[in-house]
Amino acid sequence: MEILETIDIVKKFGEFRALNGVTLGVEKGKVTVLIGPNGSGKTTLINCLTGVYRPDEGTVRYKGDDITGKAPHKLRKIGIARTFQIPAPFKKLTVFENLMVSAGNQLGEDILKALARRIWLPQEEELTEKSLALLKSFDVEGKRNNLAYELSGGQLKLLELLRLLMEDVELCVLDEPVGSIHPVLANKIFSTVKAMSEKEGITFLIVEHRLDIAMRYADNVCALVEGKILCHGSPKSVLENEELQRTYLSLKNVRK
Amino acid sequence: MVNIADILIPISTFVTFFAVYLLVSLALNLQQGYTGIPNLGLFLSIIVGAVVTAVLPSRLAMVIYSVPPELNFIEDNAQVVALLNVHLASDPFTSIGLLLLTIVVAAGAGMVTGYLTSFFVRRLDETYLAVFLLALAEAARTIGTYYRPLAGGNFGISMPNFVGWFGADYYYLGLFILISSVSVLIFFLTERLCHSPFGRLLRSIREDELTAKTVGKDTNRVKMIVMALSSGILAVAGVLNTTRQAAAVIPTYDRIDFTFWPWLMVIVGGSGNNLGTLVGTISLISLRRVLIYMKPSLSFLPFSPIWFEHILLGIILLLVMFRRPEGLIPEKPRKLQGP
Repeated sequence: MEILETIDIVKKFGEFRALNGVTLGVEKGKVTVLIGPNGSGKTTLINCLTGVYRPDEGTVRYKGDDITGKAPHKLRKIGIARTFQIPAPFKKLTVFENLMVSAGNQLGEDILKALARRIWLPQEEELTEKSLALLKSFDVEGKRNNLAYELSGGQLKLLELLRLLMEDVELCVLDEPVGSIHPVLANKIFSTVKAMSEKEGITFLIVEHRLDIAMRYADNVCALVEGKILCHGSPKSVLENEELQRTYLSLKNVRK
Repeated sequence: MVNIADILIPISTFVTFFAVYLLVSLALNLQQGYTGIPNLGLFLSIIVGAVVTAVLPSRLAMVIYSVPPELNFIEDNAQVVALLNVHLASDPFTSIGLLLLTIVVAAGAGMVTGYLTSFFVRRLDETYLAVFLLALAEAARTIGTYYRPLAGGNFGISMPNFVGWFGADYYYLGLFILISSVSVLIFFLTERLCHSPFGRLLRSIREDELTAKTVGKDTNRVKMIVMALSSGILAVAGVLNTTRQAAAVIPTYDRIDFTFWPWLMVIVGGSGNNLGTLVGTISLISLRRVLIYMKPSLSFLPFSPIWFEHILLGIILLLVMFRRPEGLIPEKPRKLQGP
């Protein structure tokens, strides 16, 4: 069953068509990896899926509902979360605060309730425990009081991922989650992703160039070339596509 | 024997001046320091507060004390004010009631102004927004300056004395208590708000609005709330300043005194924390007071000492930017204690 569908998505920047009629289905509870050369429209596509861009043409459906052009915060409330290719942390907030602010439905974020500490404090304590447990599970508890801008590139990628997990999520859209992350942590991130999809039924749509790692965990692969879907299917079938071999994979030297 | 008024006047003048500016700086800190909304038109909402003070309590007092209807508050200002002062001096309940009502109505009018301007806050990028808000405030000032029925136009109007019931000797004590207690109350409420998850939310929007949206925050709504709240505070500052001066003179609410100086106060103190704002405000208010007393001895300057204040504003800004851009009390990371 498909949790997310795009139908003939077109996105233009001036005369340039970054997406030229993209039709794609993302299967519920599976890990789908979106691959393609630089400039093929991968990030533009996920920007259209997550409300950052409004497509010029086409429809985005989530669980059957039309969500085309819906604002990012509304999509987050219905279970769609995302990370960025270039990490976008709240730089002058600590790692701990980055996680805390990412939790949804916080009583203390209501201006009137914010004045009465006793109203929001119990929830704040619960969220504190949750965020500390998350930091601990990735062995970065010691970084909790660091300001986000003090983190390395890899740590920032991890922070982006942990931020998603502060609120219930059904569809995670990750833009190069293991770019610039060392292989051990990259594998840990992907194995966590895989476990979450299998145990909790969370769906992942992941843009990734590090195919040596991503292909081990992918259920489905989708190749985007020049703003169009070239092929879609199991990792093996997609990687054997001749045109993809010629335009992308021949340069990647992938071990199949 | 020392007259009590001689002691109270300088203290009250300083404290009430400081208290008014503290509100302006706090409002700016909420907008720029916490949420990242650059507002160069702070004096828009201050003018709204001053106009409400010019229009509302005096007219109500005229009705309450049956001032002859042929007298016009603007055209016969001195006569009406003299009449009202006689009544108000012996009627503390009405005086306090009118003042509180004015503060509440002005805060409401300021909040509506902030709410309306928030539509532009959502749509304009930083630089355009700052200039747009400045233009909007200048337009309000121009209207207030040239439209006499509002607040007496260019020359302004005198206001009746709502703390006259303290008596001639203790009038300044009354002003001191009224203005400083409102400021202290607003300071503590703002501080409480900024140390809650709401404050954390504001700082996250300041750091990266798109990321805040993608973690589920309705940033437009939050910005609207911040604009409404801070504009309400600015309008209260307008009420208090008008009460302090016992006059409403709209042309005096200009961009230098009621936007650029408060910006400098927030920058010098350290933006993104209210304690910094407090320190920045008291430092620069003290400096300006010293300058006012020093002006007669500055006659050796090759220009009028009146301009020295403005030149100083620029020099301080440059020094802070080069030497201590984070301000005297920088924003501290909110660290989680424990093992």
